[in-house]
Amino acid sequence: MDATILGLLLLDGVQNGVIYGLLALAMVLVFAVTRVILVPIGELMMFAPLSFVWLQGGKLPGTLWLALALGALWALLERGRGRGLPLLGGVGLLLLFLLARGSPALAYLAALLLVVYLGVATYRVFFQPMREATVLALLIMAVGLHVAYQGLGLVFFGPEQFRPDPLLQGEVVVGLTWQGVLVLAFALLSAAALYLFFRRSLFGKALLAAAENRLGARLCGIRPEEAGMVAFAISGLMAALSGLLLAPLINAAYFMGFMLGLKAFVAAILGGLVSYPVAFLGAVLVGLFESFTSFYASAYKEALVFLLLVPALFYQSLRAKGVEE
Amino acid sequence: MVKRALALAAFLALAALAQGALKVGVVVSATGPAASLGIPERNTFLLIQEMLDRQGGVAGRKVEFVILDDASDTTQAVRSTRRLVEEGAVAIVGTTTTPASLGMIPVVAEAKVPMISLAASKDIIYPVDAQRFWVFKTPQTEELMARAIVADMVARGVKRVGYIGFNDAYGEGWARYFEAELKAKGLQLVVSERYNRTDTSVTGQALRLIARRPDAILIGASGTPAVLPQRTLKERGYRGLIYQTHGVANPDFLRVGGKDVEGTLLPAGPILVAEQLPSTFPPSGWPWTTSSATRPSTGSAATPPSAPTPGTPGSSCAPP
Repeated sequence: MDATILGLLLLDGVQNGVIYGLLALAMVLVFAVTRVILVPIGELMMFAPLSFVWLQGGKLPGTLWLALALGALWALLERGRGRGLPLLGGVGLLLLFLLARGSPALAYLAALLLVVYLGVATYRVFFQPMREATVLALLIMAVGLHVAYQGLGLVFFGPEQFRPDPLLQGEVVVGLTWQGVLVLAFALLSAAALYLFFRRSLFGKALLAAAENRLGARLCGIRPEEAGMVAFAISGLMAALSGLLLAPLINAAYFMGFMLGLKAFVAAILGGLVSYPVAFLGAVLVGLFESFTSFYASAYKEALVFLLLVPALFYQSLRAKGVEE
Repeated sequence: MVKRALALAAFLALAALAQGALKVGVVVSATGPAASLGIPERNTFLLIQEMLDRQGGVAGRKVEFVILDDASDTTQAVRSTRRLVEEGAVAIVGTTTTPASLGMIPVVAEAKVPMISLAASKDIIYPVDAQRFWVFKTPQTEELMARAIVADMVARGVKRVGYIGFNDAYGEGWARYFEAELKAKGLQLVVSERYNRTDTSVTGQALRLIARRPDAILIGASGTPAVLPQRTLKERGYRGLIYQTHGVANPDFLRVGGKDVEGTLLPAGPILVAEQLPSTFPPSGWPWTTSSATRPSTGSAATPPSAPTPGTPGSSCAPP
């Protein structure tokens, strides 16, 4: 191995790692606020670029109808003024999609908002009614949604891969495309933005409080339902943006989300599902580890990456004080 | 008396109907990672069913295809096969992938029902033992195609060869037969790498491949996931020859690959280029027309029809 190869491997590892990192941050956020392990985040991530590709081709993606159907259910569950948000959002989404056919910039926006809306509707329809359930029950629901969304992805988009055009063409130096730079910049920016959001804004602090102690937060006038919706909206936004940025580099297909989500989960576990910085660092570590194992022992790459879970879980279980909930 | 005659007639008609319908079990991977091959395969059987119904069946007997999806999963394929056999299927067709086809062999052998696999590996039919006596398959084996690739490499003066393939039975099968063929022809395999269908980056493998300076690289993969290594190799500055297997001979590969897969070399059955072949091309009298008749109707909008290969009129190209 010489310096060039080392550099390229490091670069590749970091580039993959920050994407896992973003997904891991979203997972930790959702888990902290709602105790849901967001398994279908990979699907949300892939819905964005595939919907974008469909819109660019002048077609309305099936995900739009899924979002509108869930939005209608959401509106049914709400009462009175609460119905305004899902109804207005749904109508807005439909109009945006009708306008966005053929216009790349609008299509980008439409794909983003679609996933955010879908994320919030998913929480409202599937998770909020069972918010007092155990972590295990919530996890089972999440896995079920993952399977359902993946199946719907196959129905909507077919079995093949698609490659949207990158936002920025060309390479900066050998091994680093401008699109790659964009991915890195976006990841660092959103990590910083999340940090500021949680430390400086009242809303972020309210979310943190709801994550820390649901009952206490409630006594201070924070609605846990609202906190859950915001958490899902933020993770939907992060998933959609990273999916859109990543798709030109990796070829998006309906089955791509699962592996990305699983690796983000490994990273989130390294952080014990509570620590944002450790989860992000863990994700970069997973990316680097993956990059180097694919160089040295490509046949065992996946096995070695998931083997990382074992020491992490060992450490977590030794440290935990034996309290489940 | 009249009543009894009527009852007898009804009974005979029913019996004739029951005897008339030949049930053929079809197992394909219509969902899961192998779906890009499985969906056209399923569509083919829907089409054949329609054609047979219009003709009134085969030799006066109705044929009924019972199509089950195995979700690209071996366990599901075996379970479906067992169910079809128990329900009285006279033959089994399937499945799309090599590992699942291998799993189905004991089931059909036990029931003594012939099976025609749509998967590529030679291991499905060879060696012919008591179990494989019942098993046939349609696509070309890796061995046959590897021979064509290596012959072409020799003709182009390639000395050092690299390989990167799927980390499953498809990639392993290719690695094994390709390496044996290279050895037989005196070429050197300098590096052999693996990756997964769902991988999002193969930079590590690509760097390792390039570092060993091969004259040519074979990518042992099928469908659109075969694009990623080729693009990465190109981005990392590889300028040598790139070979693919017959598993990529479909329009989706070209759509996703675009400019990055220009100049790719790959082996394929003659039906893929049937229109371009001279009329003297053997075997003369091959029903070429079948392929053009089935081509427009086998695919849906999302999955353009794959060109069929010999022995699999209308079927997809090269199952993994």
